Amino acid sequence: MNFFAFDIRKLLIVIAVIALPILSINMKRNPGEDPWYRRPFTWFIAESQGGYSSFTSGVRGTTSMYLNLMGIKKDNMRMQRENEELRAQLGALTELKLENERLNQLLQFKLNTKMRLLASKVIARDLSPDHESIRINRGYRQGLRKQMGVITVQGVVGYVLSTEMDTAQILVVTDRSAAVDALVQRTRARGLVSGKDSNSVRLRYLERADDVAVGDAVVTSGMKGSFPKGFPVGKVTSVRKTDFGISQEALVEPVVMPSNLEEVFVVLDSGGEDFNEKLATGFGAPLLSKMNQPSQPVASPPSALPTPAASTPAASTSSPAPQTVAPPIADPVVKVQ
Amino acid sequence: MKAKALLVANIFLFLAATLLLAGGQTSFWLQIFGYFPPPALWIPGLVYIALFRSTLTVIIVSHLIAIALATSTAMPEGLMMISCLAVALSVQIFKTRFYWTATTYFMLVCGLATLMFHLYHFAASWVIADHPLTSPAVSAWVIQALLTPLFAPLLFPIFRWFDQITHRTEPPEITGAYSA
Repeated sequence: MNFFAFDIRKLLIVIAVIALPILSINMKRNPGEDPWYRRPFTWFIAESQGGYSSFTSGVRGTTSMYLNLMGIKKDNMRMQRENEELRAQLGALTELKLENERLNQLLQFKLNTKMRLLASKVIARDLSPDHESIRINRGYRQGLRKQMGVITVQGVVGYVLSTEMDTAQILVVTDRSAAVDALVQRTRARGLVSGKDSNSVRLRYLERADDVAVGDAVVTSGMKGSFPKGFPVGKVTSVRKTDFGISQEALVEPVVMPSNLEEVFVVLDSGGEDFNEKLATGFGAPLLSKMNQPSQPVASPPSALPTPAASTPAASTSSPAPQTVAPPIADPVVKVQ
Repeated sequence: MKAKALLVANIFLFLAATLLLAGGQTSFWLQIFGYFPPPALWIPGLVYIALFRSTLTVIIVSHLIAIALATSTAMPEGLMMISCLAVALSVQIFKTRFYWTATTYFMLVCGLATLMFHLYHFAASWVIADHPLTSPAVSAWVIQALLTPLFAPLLFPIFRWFDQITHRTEPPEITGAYSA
């Protein structure tokens, strides 16, 4: 084969084909110039690129949306968990706050009295719904003895029925077998408080001639020393006097409801405390604010009774503004709140 | 000798369980649900004994249960003993009239026994107690009578287990050999 024996036409075509890119490189590309032969290709490539682009962006969008959803789901679960934790913490803190307020109230009460008190917690209730007794977490090891009085800041709860080493059973004043010596604060009429049902007690064995009226305050007599003198028991809601007989009976709404009990005080020693001076008017939560008041009582109209704000725990812990109160027994039109 | 020891152990187990359940009823329920009436969790133990023991055993165990539970209530011991005994004997009488072997029977009897306990207590308080029950907590009775059967199926296997570990002969009603 002769190397130089070639077809000149073929050679020219090959050279032209090889030279085309060289020629195009060397050609200057003018912006804005779009030759007619390039348009179909440009269109096609643009369309295909656009297609690819929208496809990939769609895939990327879907993928990222899926990934985001996964992330959102995780975030949502995490935030829900956090929310639940925060809610639980809030509930616990609220409970702690309320407990703190209650305990603070109890502490203030304990600090402002001559009585020797032992704070304790209610740990159980009575087995039978027809009896009213509770069990507290203090027993004879802590100095509890039978018949010791049990109170709260608001009033009388009951007394110790039996003691074990570290617990004691308390017979609540609303139990029908309970008996607490009591007085009608206004007239000093004496009777025996015993339970009727969980919401009311009876003041029994009042003398027929005794002056007892609806709304009268009933307080402890302090005779046996289990309770301080003049400590609130309840208020008279009705008086029953039969045509015959030597006594009359009053129905009393207790200031302490057994269903609300959480912490109580056991009166280890009443210390001769007399609440008649402190409880000039009214009952219940204002007791503590009354105890912080100046001791000289000044006669005042009923409008000078403590405001509800004064009865709140916050108000009771701070030093309340001096208030005037009516003398304990002298005012016959004393109103019970 | 061994049989007597097992019998004592069986009774002791039932007493311990009854006390634990009464503790749960009076204390655990209080911490969770406050003063809402709890189920009478100690009743199923008494009912089980009443259903599957001889009358003499029932009398002894019901008295022991009453004495043990009287520490958890202000109810006088005598009143508790009479009420428990009346409930246990009533369950035995009820069994001679109506009986079928199913969980629902145990649940039904537990509910009835709870209600009967309160009724007997109410009646006995008027007959023998110093302070009769003038204002019965009827709503609490009903709630207890409805709640107690819900817990009965959970307690039944435990009582059966007590019988098994103390080698008590399984009641024929449970084994299917009963033909009343």
